[in-house]
Amino acid sequence: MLYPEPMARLMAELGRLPGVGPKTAQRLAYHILRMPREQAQALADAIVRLRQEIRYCSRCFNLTDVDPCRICQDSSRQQDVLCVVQEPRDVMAIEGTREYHGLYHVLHGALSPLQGIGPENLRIKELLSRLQHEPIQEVIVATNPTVEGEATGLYIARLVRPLGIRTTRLAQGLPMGADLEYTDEATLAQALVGRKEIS
Amino acid sequence: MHLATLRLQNFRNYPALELPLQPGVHLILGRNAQGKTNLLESIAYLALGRSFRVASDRDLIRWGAPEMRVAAGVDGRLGRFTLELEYSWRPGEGATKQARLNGLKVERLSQLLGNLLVVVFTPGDLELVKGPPACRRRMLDTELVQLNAGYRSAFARYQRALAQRNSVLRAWQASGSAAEPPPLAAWDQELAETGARLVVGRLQAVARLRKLAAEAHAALAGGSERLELGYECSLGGKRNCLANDEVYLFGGSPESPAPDVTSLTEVFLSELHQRRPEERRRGTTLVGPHRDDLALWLDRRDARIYASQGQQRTVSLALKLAEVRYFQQVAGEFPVLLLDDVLSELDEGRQTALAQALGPVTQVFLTATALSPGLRDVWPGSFEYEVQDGKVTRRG
Ligand SMILES: Nc1ncnc2c1ncn2[C@@H]1O[C@H](COP(=O)(O)OP(=O)(O)O)[C@@H](O)[C@H]1O
Ligand SMILES: [Mg+2]
Ligand SMILES: [Zn+2]
Repeated sequence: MLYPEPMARLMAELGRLPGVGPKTAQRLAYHILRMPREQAQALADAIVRLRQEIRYCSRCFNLTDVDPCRICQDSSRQQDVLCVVQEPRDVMAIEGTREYHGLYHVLHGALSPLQGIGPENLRIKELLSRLQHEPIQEVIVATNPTVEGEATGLYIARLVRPLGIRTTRLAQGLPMGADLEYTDEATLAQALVGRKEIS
Repeated sequence: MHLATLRLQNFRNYPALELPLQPGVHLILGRNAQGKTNLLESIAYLALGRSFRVASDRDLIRWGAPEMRVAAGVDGRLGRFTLELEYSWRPGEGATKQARLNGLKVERLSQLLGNLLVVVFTPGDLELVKGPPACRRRMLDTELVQLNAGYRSAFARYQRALAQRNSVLRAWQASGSAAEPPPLAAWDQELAETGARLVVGRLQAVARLRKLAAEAHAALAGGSERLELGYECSLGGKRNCLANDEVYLFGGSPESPAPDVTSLTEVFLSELHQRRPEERRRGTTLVGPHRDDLALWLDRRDARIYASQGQQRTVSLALKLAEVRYFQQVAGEFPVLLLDDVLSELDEGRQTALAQALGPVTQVFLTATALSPGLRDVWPGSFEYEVQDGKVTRRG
């Protein structure tokens, strides 16, 4: 089937998105074609603005539209507790609990030698540098309870402990193998309150 | 427990099948290559989430079809439930696999396991005695992932941690450097914690299976020889065998041979530490449950080395019967028993002994190419089905 070039191009771009196969791409493209013009324009603008305005906070590496991010700038937050997470969406999940009032550090992934992801591919150097320059008393390791998340958490704990900083992890009770983002807020809040020292 | 219905769509050579079932022995008869094994495979697929043959999910889709579905209604101890497993593969879209329990999608496939319980016996299982350790480990693992949710999650995590750790070791080997890659210790911990759970689970299973297998074997072999089971653990070397008269497992006693997870984790970690130079040289993980074995002795001689053809058959059959009883003890109900083509491998005496031993089992599926003269007498009251080219008809 030969589509006019703009249609074919949109379908090719949509097809690159995760979970979108050729059929879905085709359906979405037709849907966009039939949208009111303003709505299609709003979608295009949202994509462009996302890439123009969203960047990583230079301190905690969370997603932000201002640098440093709003959490890093908020002086009412506890400045001596740092919660280490894998992804920006984990920050959102923990913020949703309203149980945590400290700072964050986003690693952007977990160790996975099978996929060639080593410590140098995560924001670990930056984490250690923060621990040297900021008055952090406690590091909460909140990596996902997957095999990779656990190993990453342990690796970080081993680096942090010699610095004389208290290292804790979320209490068990999280479903094994689950992602933080899927955990409901009540469970997550409980896990935060019941966090444990990493031995 | 028993299957009350089985429904297949585009599974192997079955375009569509709707089969009402009941408790009892089901003789699945038919010429070669008609779909007898495929039928058993579909039932095991629902129980284990994968084929018992060396097959990928894609092999299970009927040729030319984009997807397949297996569904069953099961009557268990706690009432009726339904299971469904669907797999599709389309070029450009890749694969999707979705399970449903009582009509509701499950988040992870592992949640399917442990609902429908099966014990499978195929001609390949006659290799259980003399085959490589991997086939005996697989037997233990297949039992335990069905019966023990903790084992199931530890099993998946262990495989994952092992693959990740081996990848670090391979890179270390290739680097030629003596300096240990820093993240290795983190993988040690994850491997040791999950591996210790596997070893403890297996030790508990073997401790129970020992008695059951000895009983089953005595019934099959007329008590002429004694079958003993043991567990050979790669942690701590031969020292840490589980044998009938010599139980010195990590300081345990014969009554409670299983050490606890915490102390075994420590043993595992120190063993990994000692093996560092060797693991670096070989580029792979050298100790752990993936290196262990189920030991089998007949009258104190290693059956894995010395058993004759006939002895191997009796031992593997005894192991399967022990498994069935073990499921019954742990789960409080019998598993569905799937026997593929095993009758042709057994003489009449063993067939009769098998039929007797299976008397109490709720539901049995048995395939055979022909209804041999004695078969009806050996399996009185059984239901007969004829399979031809992906169609099943009830006989009589
Ligand atoms: N994915 C598939 N699609 C269609 N037919 C298949 C598929 N896989 C196997 N078959 C067919 O199934 C038959 C084998 O069925 P099987 O159950 O192993 O036979 P048997 O009755 O001897 O146990 C063969 O005819 C084979 O061609
Ligand atoms: Mg067959
Ligand atoms: Zn920030």
